[in-house]
Amino acid sequence: MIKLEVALFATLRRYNPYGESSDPFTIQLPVGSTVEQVLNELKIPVKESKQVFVDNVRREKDYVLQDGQRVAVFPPIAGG
Amino acid sequence: MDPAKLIKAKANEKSIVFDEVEYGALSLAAVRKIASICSLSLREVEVNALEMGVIPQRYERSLGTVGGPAGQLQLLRSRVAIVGLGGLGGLVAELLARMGVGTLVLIDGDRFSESNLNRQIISTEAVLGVQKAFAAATRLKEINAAVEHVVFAQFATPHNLEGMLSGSDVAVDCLDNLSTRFMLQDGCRALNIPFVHGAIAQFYGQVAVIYPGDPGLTAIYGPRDNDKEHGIEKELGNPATTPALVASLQAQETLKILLKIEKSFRNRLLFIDTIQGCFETIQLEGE
Repeated sequence: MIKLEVALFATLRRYNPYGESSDPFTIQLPVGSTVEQVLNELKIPVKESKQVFVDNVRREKDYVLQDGQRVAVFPPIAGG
Repeated sequence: MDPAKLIKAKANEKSIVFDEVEYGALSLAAVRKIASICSLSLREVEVNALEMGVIPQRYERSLGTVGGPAGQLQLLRSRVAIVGLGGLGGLVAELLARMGVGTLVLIDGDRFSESNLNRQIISTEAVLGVQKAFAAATRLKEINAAVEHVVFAQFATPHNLEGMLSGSDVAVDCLDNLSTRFMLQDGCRALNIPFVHGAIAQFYGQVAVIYPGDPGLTAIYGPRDNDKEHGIEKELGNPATTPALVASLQAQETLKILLKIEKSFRNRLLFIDTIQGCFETIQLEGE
């Protein structure tokens, strides 16, 4: 298993299983898990999670995660 | 008539002390009078004055921030393009005009409507139906008539954008859709100028400074996707407060670029969540 630190920002915090907050929390997934598996595990709809940053770098859904990485998920905002 | 003589004569009436040095100061009335006598623009008179170490009084309280008369002179000689004049762009234009950025290029093809009144600082009941770029120019003239403006009351397209940005030192991304934001990035890269990105949605906002060689918008939004034009703001809307917050940071970053204050949001995305009360900074790196 790998341990990941996850933080869900703005409107996505409603998917935080520990209560509606952007505070980071830990999840455990099998070795070889991808960004997509994190989103599935947390039941975050794909269209709401286009901006996933792993250790500060934007990554696509198929990115394979390593133990100890930090995953931050933001909704896209584009208003002016 | 030689403006230097007039500036010298008028500067004796008041002085400003900055950093333990005493400078002559010019009132707005004096700037106007000298401009009229010498057939110069107000901006030219202010530039001439600052070159002689005489400070237009209107900038007195800015000196500590801009680094003294040299910084103010730098701002007056600068040109900034503001792309989009809605919630973000209207306030960015106003703040830069107050700071005395010499030339502002105002780009927006839209007209003010009632749904703008809750947040767009240039919009008033009196200008409903008026083109945003012209309304902004009128407002800026009332605030600081020394600031010159170039009005483009048209929407940015791949054909016109580079021409509108040309000659600017910095562009400010105050747009409300992703395709034009990426178009602005293309234009800035072609002209080799930085731009200050800002976006808002409801209680949230973000700011980043992007230079031509940086990963830029792709590192924030992912690859350009013509089907993805908007973010969560389409469902959540925008209040008065968040645009003001983000626009202030954009204006500040613009001033820092013009003044060559090195530390900036370059290659970082500042994400603001005013519900949670947090400012999150993400390092932006290419994949």
